[in-house]
Parts: sequence; C-alpha cells; structure tokens
Amino acid sequence: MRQPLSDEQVLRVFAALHAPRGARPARLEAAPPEGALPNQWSVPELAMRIRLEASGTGVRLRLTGDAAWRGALVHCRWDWLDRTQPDKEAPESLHAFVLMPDEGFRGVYQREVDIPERLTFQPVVARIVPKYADPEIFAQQWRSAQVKPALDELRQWIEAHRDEFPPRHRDTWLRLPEQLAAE
Amino acid sequence: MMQELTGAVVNRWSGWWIGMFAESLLHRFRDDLQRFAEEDDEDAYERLGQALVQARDQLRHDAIRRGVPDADADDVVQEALRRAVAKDSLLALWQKYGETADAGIYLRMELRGAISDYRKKCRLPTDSIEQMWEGGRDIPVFVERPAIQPSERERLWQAIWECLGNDLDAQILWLRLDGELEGRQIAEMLCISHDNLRQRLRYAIEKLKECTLFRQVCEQLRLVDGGE
Repeated sequence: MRQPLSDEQVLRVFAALHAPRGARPARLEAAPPEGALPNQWSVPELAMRIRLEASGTGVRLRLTGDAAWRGALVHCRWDWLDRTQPDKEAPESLHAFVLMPDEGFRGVYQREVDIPERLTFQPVVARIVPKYADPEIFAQQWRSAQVKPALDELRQWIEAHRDEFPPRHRDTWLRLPEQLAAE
Repeated sequence: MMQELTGAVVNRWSGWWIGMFAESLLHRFRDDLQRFAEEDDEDAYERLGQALVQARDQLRHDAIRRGVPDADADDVVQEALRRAVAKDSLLALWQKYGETADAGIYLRMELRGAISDYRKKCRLPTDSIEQMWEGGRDIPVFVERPAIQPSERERLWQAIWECLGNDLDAQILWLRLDGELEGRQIAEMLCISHDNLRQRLRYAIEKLKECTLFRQVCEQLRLVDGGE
C-alpha cells in the first residue's frame, strides 16, 4: 500500500490550484473597481456562469448552473475596501442569497436578482448544504443579507430539504421562516 | 486608560485591525502627535510612546497569529514598537496623514514591517496546512507554485470533488483556494460553525492525502512524484 501524500506534497498541489489565473479580476481592490458592465465569468470547476449587468443604480446578477445547482440556495459575497477612506483598510461587503429554480431548460438552471450596488467584480458563490448548515448561523446570515428571496420561498426550500436536515436541527429549520417573519 | 484600550481592540477583519484605539484615545493621540510634530513638545512625545506601548499585548497576539513563534513574538513586537516610537516615524506620520492619522493602522504597518524583516532573517517554518489557513495566511511564498493549465486545473478540482464525495468539504477547499476567503468567512458563507469548519478542513485534507484518484491526477500533472 502506498504512503499517503505528505503535507508538503499537498501544499504544492494547493499552491498550483491557488496560483492566480491571468484573466482573473482582483478579489479585493481599493474600491469596487470601475470595471465595465456587463461582466461575466465562467467557473467550469463549479459548472457555473456568473454575469453582472447594469440595472438602475445597481447591477443585475445572473447565475447559470448545471443540475448541481437545481433548487440550490446560493450564498454570494463581494468584499472590497471603501474608496472614501483611502488611508484606511475600511472593508465593505455585500452578501446575498439567491434561490436557484427547480425548473431548468435543457439541464441549465438560471436565476437573476438585482443587487443594489454597482459591483463589477466576481462574487464568491457557495451552495448551502442542508445536511451540514447550522440554522442559527443561517438565520444570522439571512438577517444581514442585503438581497434574499421571499420568506415563502425560503419555506419551500426548507420543506424540499427537510429530510436532509439532521434530526437535531430539523425543528429549528422548520420553525425558521415563522421566526424570521415575526422579527 | 488601559480599560479604554482593551475595550477598543475590536473589529477584526481579514487578519488586520480596523480600529485598535477608542475614538477618545485616537483624538488624544492626534492631539499629542500634532503637539510633538509642530511644537516639539517632549511631554506629548512621551504620551505618544505610552499610548503605543499599551497595544503590546494585541501586537503580540497578532504577531503569533501571523506565524511568528511564541518565543520570538516579544522581540518582533519590541522591534515594531521601537520603529513606531521613533521620532522621525512619528513626524512622517503627521506630515502624511495629519489629523486623520490612525494609531492602530500605524502600529499595524510597523508590525507588518517587523514581521517581514523577521521572516527574511529566519524564514518561518511551514505550519501545518490547517494552522496556515486558520491564520488567514497565504500559501507560503517558499512553496514553488507549479503552473497548470485551465483544463488541468478543472481536472484536479474534479478529482477533489470525487475524492471528498461531499459537497460541503469540497466547497470549503474551493472557497479557500479559489475564493481566497479566510476560515471565518468560509464558515459564514456555508452557514456552519467555525469549529465545524476546522474539523471538516482537517478531515478533507486527510482524505485527499489518502485518495488514490487524487494522487493519480497529481502524478499525471507532475505535481507530485510518481513514487515508483
């Protein structure tokens, strides 16, 4: 039997994965960069395409994914530094929840939402994994998200995944929409 | 004064301090800085030194968090403070920033410089992968970064996803390596606890080390030796 890879070997692989790609925009800049809109990125590793286009004073975010994104609750995040305080590292961030549709077209699932900030750079995206997500932490994130689906849609997502929630969290998840509605 | 300081050491983000000093202390710091710079007031200079030195514990904590061994942290912090209280440095701070000078940011920059020099001298040993990530630090610069093509990269990620067989663990790695997020940010993104994140990360790395498919792909891409 072969020896497992060493820390050093794994680090080398991670370094290769971490190496910046040519066309990749800076993740964190001194301000939301004045990039051109529309702007779009293909993330083949996630089978996801992300597009931003101007919409009013903000942008319209379009997420397009394969079957792995069907019905997924997606957490998007942008981080940048406040341009009005150039002498300081004043962080700004915006995060949003986007609920992908259950219905796709030819295996492609797409959702658009409006983001109230003229962001031109690529957000970080992640799917909430019902089996592991902590409803208390989710609730905190939900409350502070600037953009999110309606509570009815959240309720439907929770219902659709109720069997995936671990028993210790299931009741909390199921009560969550009412709890959030009451706040 | 100490109480005021302690309460103000808050608001950590991205491994750096945003505000180290309470607003009232910051005003006092700026007043003293102005008196020292414009009137050569020695008492004001003395007070500046006292104020800066009170951040010693926080500096030490941050130096350790950034990979300075505990045994060397005091020396690194002492060096950062020595630079910070140097008269020409304080004069330059006033000339450059005037009434917007921020003691916290100033100290942070001096600490950054002291750590950087320390690294050059000592070349910090490699931490475990988990410690490195936990500290929000990047892949160490002395790890050679092999270049891979986009298609190879995709293949490697595919192998990682398959080996881990778990959407959460794969996303944790993805967010760290591609998203460049810190542990706390990743935990927030995935709505899991920070402790859970740490455990899953450790588990994911161990699993990858033992995964035959991952090794095969790494060998094919010449990222690790064949070992035959």
